[in-house]
Amino acid sequence: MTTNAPNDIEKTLLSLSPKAVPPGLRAGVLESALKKRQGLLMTTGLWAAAAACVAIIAVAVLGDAAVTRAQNDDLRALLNGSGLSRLAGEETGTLPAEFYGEISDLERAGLERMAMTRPAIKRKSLQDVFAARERLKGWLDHEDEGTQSPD
Amino acid sequence: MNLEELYGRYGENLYRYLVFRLGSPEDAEDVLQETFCRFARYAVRWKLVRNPQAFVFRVARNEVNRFLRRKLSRPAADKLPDRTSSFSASLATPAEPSAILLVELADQLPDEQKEVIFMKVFDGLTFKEIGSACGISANTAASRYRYALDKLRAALEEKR
Repeated sequence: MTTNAPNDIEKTLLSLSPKAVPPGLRAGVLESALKKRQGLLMTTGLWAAAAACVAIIAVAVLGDAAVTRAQNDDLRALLNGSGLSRLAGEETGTLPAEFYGEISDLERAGLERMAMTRPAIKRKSLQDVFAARERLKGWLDHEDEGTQSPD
Repeated sequence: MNLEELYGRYGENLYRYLVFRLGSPEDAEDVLQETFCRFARYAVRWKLVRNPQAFVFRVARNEVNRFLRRKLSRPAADKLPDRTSSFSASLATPAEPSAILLVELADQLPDEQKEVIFMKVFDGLTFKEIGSACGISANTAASRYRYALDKLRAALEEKR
């Protein structure tokens, strides 16, 4: 549809020169834009600081609430008694494990047998000592007479 | 892209476009400052911009519309006279009578056609970029351009 005439119009329009840009426009525009950017950066920094403060306060409040709840539980347990026995049971139940570690039934039986036979062994060894003293009695009386054994 | 680089590439073209749209160098200067302040705000997202030329003209165009809305909302005494975009405000007065006549006739075109002609001829935007800047399709931009040139041709022939 377009003919040569519009192209001539385009050429004429292209030949027109624009008005000059006023001096100092660049400096003015860039100065105001850079000020704006600095303001924005400060605003962003303040927002970040505010968010950090809120996070710290939230952690402090939640942590304090958790500690208080734990302390209240302990106090309630002490005052009620039932909780105390439960707590004591837990403590005493863990004592053998703390002392002996995790031991098998067989090892436990062996330990118990040793504990039971220890007095008997001690009694027998005393009897042996007395018998020996009886046997050595005559030999000890004549110890100065020679190095012979009484037997 | 930093602001200095942006100004180096598009600053003067934007200024001329703003003078064309607003008809006043003072208002154009104010709006150009606002436009660059907006670029400063968009600095972080600048990488997302696919076509910087179309983008800067779109931002400038939006600033013009904001500026005109602000002016319109002021009391009647402070209101602007009814202004339309004008080639004569942004172009130096030509020496040839035929060129003077052409500028006069071009100023009588509808605003949307004048805008497309200005962007195409004086800022070198493609129809796709004009479409992107003005929020219209590239085909619409091309038809507006063609209609405007046809009207100018007809008006010139009528005057001769």
